[in-house]
Formats: sequence, C-alpha cells, structure tokens
Amino acid sequence: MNKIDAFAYEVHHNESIVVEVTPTNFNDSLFSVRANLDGKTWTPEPDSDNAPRFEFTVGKEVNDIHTALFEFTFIAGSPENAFYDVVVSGEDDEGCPCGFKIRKTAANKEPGIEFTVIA
Amino acid sequence: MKPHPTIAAVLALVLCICPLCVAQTSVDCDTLREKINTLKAPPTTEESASTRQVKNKALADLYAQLLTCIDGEIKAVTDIRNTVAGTNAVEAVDKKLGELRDERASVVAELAQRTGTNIANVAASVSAAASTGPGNTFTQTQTNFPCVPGEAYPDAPPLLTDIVGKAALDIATSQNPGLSGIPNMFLYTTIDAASPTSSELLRGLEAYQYLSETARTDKQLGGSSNSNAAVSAIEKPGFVSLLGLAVEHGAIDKKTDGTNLTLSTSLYSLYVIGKENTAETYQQAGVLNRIGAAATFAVDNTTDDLANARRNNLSQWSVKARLFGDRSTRSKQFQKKWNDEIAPLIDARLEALGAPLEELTESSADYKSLRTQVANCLRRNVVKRTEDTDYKAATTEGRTKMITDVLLSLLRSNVYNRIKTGQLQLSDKIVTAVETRYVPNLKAALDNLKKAGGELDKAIEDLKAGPLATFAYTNFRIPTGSDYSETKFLFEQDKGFFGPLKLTGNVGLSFYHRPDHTLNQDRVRDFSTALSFSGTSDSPFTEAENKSKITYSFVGRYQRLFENRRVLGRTADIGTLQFVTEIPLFKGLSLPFSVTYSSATEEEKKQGFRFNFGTRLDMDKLFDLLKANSNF
Repeated sequence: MNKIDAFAYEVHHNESIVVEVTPTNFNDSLFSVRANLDGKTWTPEPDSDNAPRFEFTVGKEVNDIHTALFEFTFIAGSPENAFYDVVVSGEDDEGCPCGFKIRKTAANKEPGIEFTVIA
Repeated sequence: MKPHPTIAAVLALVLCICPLCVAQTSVDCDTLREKINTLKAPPTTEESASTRQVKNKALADLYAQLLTCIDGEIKAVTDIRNTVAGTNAVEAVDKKLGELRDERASVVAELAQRTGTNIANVAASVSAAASTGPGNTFTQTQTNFPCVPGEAYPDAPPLLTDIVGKAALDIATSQNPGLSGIPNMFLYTTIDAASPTSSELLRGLEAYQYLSETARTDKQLGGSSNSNAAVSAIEKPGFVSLLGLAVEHGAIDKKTDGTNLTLSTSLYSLYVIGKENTAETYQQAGVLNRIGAAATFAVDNTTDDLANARRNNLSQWSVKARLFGDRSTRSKQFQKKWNDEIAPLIDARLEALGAPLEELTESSADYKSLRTQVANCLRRNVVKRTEDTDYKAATTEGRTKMITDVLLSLLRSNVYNRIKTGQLQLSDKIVTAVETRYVPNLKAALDNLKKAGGELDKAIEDLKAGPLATFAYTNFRIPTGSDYSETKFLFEQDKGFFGPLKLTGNVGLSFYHRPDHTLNQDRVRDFSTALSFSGTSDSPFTEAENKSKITYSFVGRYQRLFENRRVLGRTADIGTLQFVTEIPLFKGLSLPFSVTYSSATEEEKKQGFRFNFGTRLDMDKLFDLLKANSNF
C-alpha cells in the first residue's frame, strides 16, 4: 500500500487492508463508527467492539477503486477531548504511518477513503 | 497512395512510444521541451499549408516522445518519493510529481489535438504502450481527463457546499494532513450534472446534521451540601459529571468558589494515568469507574488556589460510589437502543451514498478514470493553495473560504461541465437510476436520520432522568471541634412518580471519631434526611444559542443532633425548608438565590430566615457561547 494522503491510498490486487479505529477519551460516553465498503455495509471483525477493526482484500482489477465511507459519532455529553484514532495498513506500506484522527472538533465526521488499485 | 496525416501521426505516436523506440530515443526531456517551444513559436514569415502540416506532424512526434520521457521521469521521481517517504523531503517530491502529472495531461491533450483523435484514444494508446509493469504507479492510469482550471460554481447544491465546507474547515484548522470527503463531493456533483431533474431533486435535500452533541449535561458542583458556601440543603448523587470532569481536565478537577477549593477525581481517572484512555482501558477498569473522591479546603490564599491544598486547610474529604442506575450513554440499555434503532439508519445513509458511487464507478472506465484524476487534481490544488502567501496570512474563516472556492470551482470545471457537455457520458440507465433511486434513497435516509435525531435527544434526556443511587462517605475536619464522618445514601429520580419534578432524597448518619463527652457528644452525632423537588423552565434572559434554563427547587430537611439533647438554649430536632433558584442571564452569567427557614440552628434554638444570593460566571459556558457566535 502506498499513501497518497491520509484519505487516499494506492493498493495492489489481492492485498489485505486493515482499518483499525481506536476510540479515545470517551470515558462513559457511547462511541460509534459505522462503515460502508463499495456500497455495502462494512461490519467490523468479531471481538473488536472496543477498537473496531475493518478488513478487506483488494479484489478489484487495476485502475479500479475500492471506496470506504465512514461516519464517526460523538454523542451528546461526550468529552471535548474525545477522538477516534484511525490507522490504515496494508502490505509493504510506503509513506506510513497511515491514517487520520477524527476529533470532536472536526467539521467532517464522515470521511471517505479511496483505495486505487495500481497493480 | 499517400497516407492520411492523422493516421500517420497516430502511427508515429504508437511507434515512438513502444519500448524499442524508447530505447532508441533517449533524448533528454528538457531538449524535447525546448524543441517543442521552438517549433511552437509564431513564424516570422507566412507559412504555406504544407509547411504547417510538416510542422504539425513534427510537433506530434515530439509530443509523443516527450510523453514517454515524462513517464520515465514520473517513474524515477516516484521511486525517489518512495525512498524519502516519511521524511520532510516528501513534500517537495510530491510537488514535482504533481507538476509532472499536470504536464503529462497537457501533452496528452496536445497530442489529441494534433492527431485529430480524442483524448481517450490517445490515453488508451499511451496506457497500453507505455505500461512499464508493477511499481509504475502513474503510467497505468488512463489520463483522459486532465485537470483543467476551475470556474465559478455559484449555485452549488447545499449537500455539496456542506461537505466541501466541512473538508475545507478541517484543512484550515489542520485536522488531518489530507482532503477528506472526496467520494461524497464527486457523487453530489455527478448527481447535480446528470439531468435537470436529478439536479432539482438534489437541491431539495438539506445538509446532513450529525447525530452529535446537542445539549449540555448537568454539572454538579463539588463539596457536600453542608460545606460553608453551599446554598443547597440537599446533596445530589451526581457522580457521572465528576468522572467526566476529572478525566477531561486531567486526573484531578479543581473548583473554587472563593471560600472553598474543591479538588475532585475518580479512581478511573487515576487508573488511566500513564495509559491511553481508550474504550478498552475503560472496560478493563471495571468497578473503578463507579468510584469518585473529592477534598475541600478552606481558602486563605486567593492568589494561588492550589497553595490552599494542604492538611491544615482541609475541611472535608469524601468518597462516592455509584450503587445502581447507569445514566451513561455507554450503558447496556442505551447501547442496545443505539444498535437497534440508530445505527441501521446511519448504515442506510452510507449505503445511499456508497451504492450509487459504486454503480457509477463500475458503469464505465471513463468514470473510474475521472474519479482518480479529479481526486488527484483536487488534492494537488488544495496543497498548492495552502502554500500561497495570502492563505498563510488569512484567518481560519478566510482559509476555509479559499479552500472551499478551490474545491467547488474545480468540481465544476472537471466533473460537472464534463458530464453536462457529454465529454463524460452517463448512460440513460444511469441517469434514470440517479433520478429514481439514488436521490430518493438518499432523501429517505436523511429524513429517517433527522427523525431519529429528535428521538435520540429524547432518549438521552430520558437516560438522564433514570433512577440513580450512590453511597457517600464524608470526613469532616473541624478545627475548633471534633472531627466526624458522615455516611449517606443518595437517590435521584427525574420525571418519575412526581411528573416533571425531579425527586432527590438523602438519608444519612454521622459519627464522631473521638466524642468529647464534656460537650455532650456520643459516638453517633446526628441522623438526617432530606427531600427535594426540583424543576426547570426556559429563561427569557439568555441568548438564542444558550440553552441554560431557570432551575428551582424546594427542599425539606430534618436533622436530629443528639448532642443538643438536654442542653439549655438548644434543640436536638432541627427542621429546614428552603427554596433555591438560579436564573441564567447572558454570557455564562447567572444569579443564584436561596431563602431558608430554619426552626433552629445547631448552635441555638432560634428560628429564622436566611437569604443567600450572588452571581456566578460559568467559564465553560462563556467559552461555548463565544465559540458558537464566531461560527468556529
């Protein structure tokens, strides 16, 4: 995987991609991250409730795009310093660490990640 | 037969970019650029048609060679980029890559013009011939949609301006090193351009409001009800806020009212010191997140609050443990509601965006190509804009507008115009899908979420109204008397049996550590019980965005102070009735007021009224209001 920017990556066919989300400073407030991959609801791996882990294998051909859409929620009463730490990883990563943070102060809480297949 | 010039030019192009040709023409890119500039220079004398034709063919040949040469440069710079990834050098390399990609797109356009073929065909020929295997990340992408300069998009649909504005604000405030929300921007622009009907339908949709913070939770001030500065005769079991405040502001929260300094913390906030405060850590802490502690000190040093936090000034310390009732949004009950009722609606909206984007992307190679190249174009131009001097000198608002303008204008010229003019053709089937499925599905998802937002606010309100019971232990240190401890059971129920009024009850028993028998003291100091009914109403004095309400409560308290038995001038039975209100005014300022009737005091058997009033400034609230007013 090769990083273009925090929300765009170049990937290889059959490469395994992992997006791991760590909710931080939420204390007793609910956290919620929902995701969609290529038009279908993307559910996290089992037993990753406290740090949802999303995985997929690049199945599309060269020049095609896998699109992951997310929505991160900060419920009423959640601490002002709460944030989601999102780490994106693949194989033989270039330009990483890769990923981003979604803070409570972020304006856009529904980022999309584009994975362009280059080989 | 004489070959047609177009066929000859395309033939020359394909021949020149084949690997063999590449090997034979290892001319330096700069030399090619110079030769092209020389040939493109206006002629000094009038040219004949045949001369122009020869020149045109020569230019086409040179552009074809230059294209191959640029691809080689891109590959070389990409290798450099991969080597310097993660260092400061990457920025300059990325900039060079961007310039090369722009130049490549211009060369492809020139070739298309001079060979009379369309850009897509040139790109396809180039792509097929110039592929240099895995690792070359750029030559494999079709380059049939070069990044063209932006143009005004004054009537952009609300959903598009919303997501662009959010992404721009995040860049202006340096939230992340990247441009978020490109897929959504692309989809909204496509829908706007697809047909007049889809454009109209899209413009009928309101910008999406996240299901996020809408209200402020109650704030329980530290110290027990009988500390010197307390205006209320009843103590609330407000443990949740203690935890939140302590962890948010550091392990220990500090509060002072001029007379007392209260430091509060929770066992969880101490447990989390030196660890990441993640959801995992919270769960591991178990019962620790149910226990809080506070200490109150008399203030004699008004210049340095923390200097008062010493043993001699300690007037009381307390520990609170939540027994039952969970008002947190992480409670099982609330999580179930979220998972069953709210999360599916968020999923539905994401699907209403993701599925159309997927269908569009898979509908044609051109759409894929457009997505890839426009995304690069947006990212590159945003980075470029952030390097401008006027951007660096601008305020957050100014920067946001600059980035918004860049994004909207490029989306207009690179996506909207290309679809509108047919340069990128959407099939009739796709246009029908946009009108009959994509936008209606998105509308339904947004409507459902809006409705759920109201229900969610109510659910949170109901959660805060549930029963809550805590056990409190308080140790009172009396400088001129006997120290004692108090145990209390605190209960609270909002909007229950007593309708809109909140019921709070306390039952407590206190003990002397070393009873002074000369002062008629036994081991048991007193028994007390209190009951309060409180409510709220809207304040006519606050700003529109300030949701603070007038609060009021009626409190009845009974105390049996055993040492007052058989003492002249005193009574063991002390009854108190109290009315307490706090009226919020503006900018976080409020007026607390209380009137209390007592049948006696602890010191003398004398009934009477007592009035307390003052002003309170809530700095958190003031900051929130200032932030709201500045639209930050």
